[in-house]
Amino acid sequence: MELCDMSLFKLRQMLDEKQISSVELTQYYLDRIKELDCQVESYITVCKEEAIIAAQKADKIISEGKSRVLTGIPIGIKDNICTEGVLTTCASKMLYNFIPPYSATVIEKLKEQDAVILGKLNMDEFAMGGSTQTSYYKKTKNPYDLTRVPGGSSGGSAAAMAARLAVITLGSDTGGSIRQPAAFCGVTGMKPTYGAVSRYGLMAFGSSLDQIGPLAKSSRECAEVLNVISGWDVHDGTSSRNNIDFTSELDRKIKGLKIALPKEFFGQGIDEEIKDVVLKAVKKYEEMGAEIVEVSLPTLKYAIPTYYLLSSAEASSNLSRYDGIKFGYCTPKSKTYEERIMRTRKEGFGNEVKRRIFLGTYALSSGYYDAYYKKALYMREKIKEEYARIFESCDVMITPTAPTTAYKIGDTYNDPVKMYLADICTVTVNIAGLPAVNTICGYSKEDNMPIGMSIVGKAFDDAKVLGVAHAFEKDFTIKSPSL
Amino acid sequence: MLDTELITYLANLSKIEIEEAEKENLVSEMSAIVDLMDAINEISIEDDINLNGKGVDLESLREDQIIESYNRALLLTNASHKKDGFFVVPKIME
Repeated sequence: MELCDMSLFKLRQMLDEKQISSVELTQYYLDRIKELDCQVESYITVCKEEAIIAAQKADKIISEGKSRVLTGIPIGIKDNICTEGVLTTCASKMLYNFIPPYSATVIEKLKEQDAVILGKLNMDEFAMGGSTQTSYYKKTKNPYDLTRVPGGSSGGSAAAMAARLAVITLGSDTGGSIRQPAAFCGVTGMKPTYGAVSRYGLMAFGSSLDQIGPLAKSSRECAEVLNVISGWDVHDGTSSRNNIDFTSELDRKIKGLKIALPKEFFGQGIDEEIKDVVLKAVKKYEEMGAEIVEVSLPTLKYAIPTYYLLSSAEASSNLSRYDGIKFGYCTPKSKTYEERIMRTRKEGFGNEVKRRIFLGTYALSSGYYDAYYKKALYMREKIKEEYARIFESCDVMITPTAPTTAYKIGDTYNDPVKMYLADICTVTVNIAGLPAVNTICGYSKEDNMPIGMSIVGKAFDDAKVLGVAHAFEKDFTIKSPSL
Repeated sequence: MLDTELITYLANLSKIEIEEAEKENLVSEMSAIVDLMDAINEISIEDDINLNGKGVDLESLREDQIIESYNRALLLTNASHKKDGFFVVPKIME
């Protein structure tokens, strides 16, 4: 077995038994990135020197017998998570030169364990998009088919996982940005319950929706990473004091488990083959002793406007900080203060980011607030109520993660409405703040592209969701992409 | 209905400069997006639901303590125009 195909656990064992050093493992991944990332284009920044220095330190810790689960493990980070001293661009021209003076809490937690940060991964600009095509820097390719998108916005994180260019990656999920690219690229990706992981140092998009989470080869690995990065944080007022042990239900029995199947997620607009493959996986759970309950989520038809109004409203406020004065891009051509700000934002933001800011500004502006923003807030409560009602009698819910498999680069790129509609399977989970994990349940017959299903639970049932995914993964064989 | 006047208004509120030539295109793009959002107009707010969310628990706010802040010189390294420990902007007062 190649090193890059080994699980976190196997690598942990090899590092602890000195069969390999962290420096060797890190160099191996840096070499892979050098060799393969010219095709995949998943990294914006590779931290060659910093990674080797971190690996040397990790080797010292390991030799002292003090290693922890992520000590010496090479990890890739989405480029909207602040890393002190390392360029963090959010895939925007606006932050082409931004060196954060501090690290996000999740980065501090990784460093506390002496994990090795390989570099920063490509994404849609400011995480706005589902294909990683809105990045200012590069278009990341899907390792299963280089003519297709990796999904997004954490497309770099998912593609790097699929191409085995990191042992684990971190992404962020505002409306599906971890789960959908994980599905497109054939890996496991988890959006934890809102508040489970600190958002401090995550560049804000929709603050009431954003969560950081891991992408990995399995749910078991996601659970281990989440145990490291989660927890209450003084710097994030919305972080929760509930301590979750994400690994606690990995051995749970499926017998007696009640799985909700919302009919709206298996209706029009969802690719027939995806429905079939996901329903086959549901059948597997039934064979393992689960009880399948058909449920309904009628509010789903309002999910897209609710999500886009809330997230854009929050984004229009959050992105007002980019003015060219304190940090980031500044236009060279301006005479007045007003001109400097307006021209900087014109030149620094891409088209999709501007559209979202305009939409959010519209939804919050006088005369339109009641018609749009207030109604979206109302719908958020209704969607939460519907989920709560379902989880009164069911343990988890299973849905497709995306209505299609990964599409060709360039398709739908110029049609924002089509792009927004493609988020239908994932956004309600963020609106309701629930945990959800994408795991792979099959491949399309015609072109062998991965198909993902999402397992959703009630808030703080993250361990259960991971346990249910793990039960399926145990008997499922992943087909790796050939690069 | 979105028109060039409303787009100009939104661009000003958003502090994003737009050119005359892009306005028509922006109107059509944003109109398609707003049409999608209009589905939400079908619903009417019926019951008295907590619209401000229950996200932040006031009980769990941290103690109000003086702690060390960021290093000023370090923060200024990211600014394009700076002088004597301050950000520099074009003259605001005539």
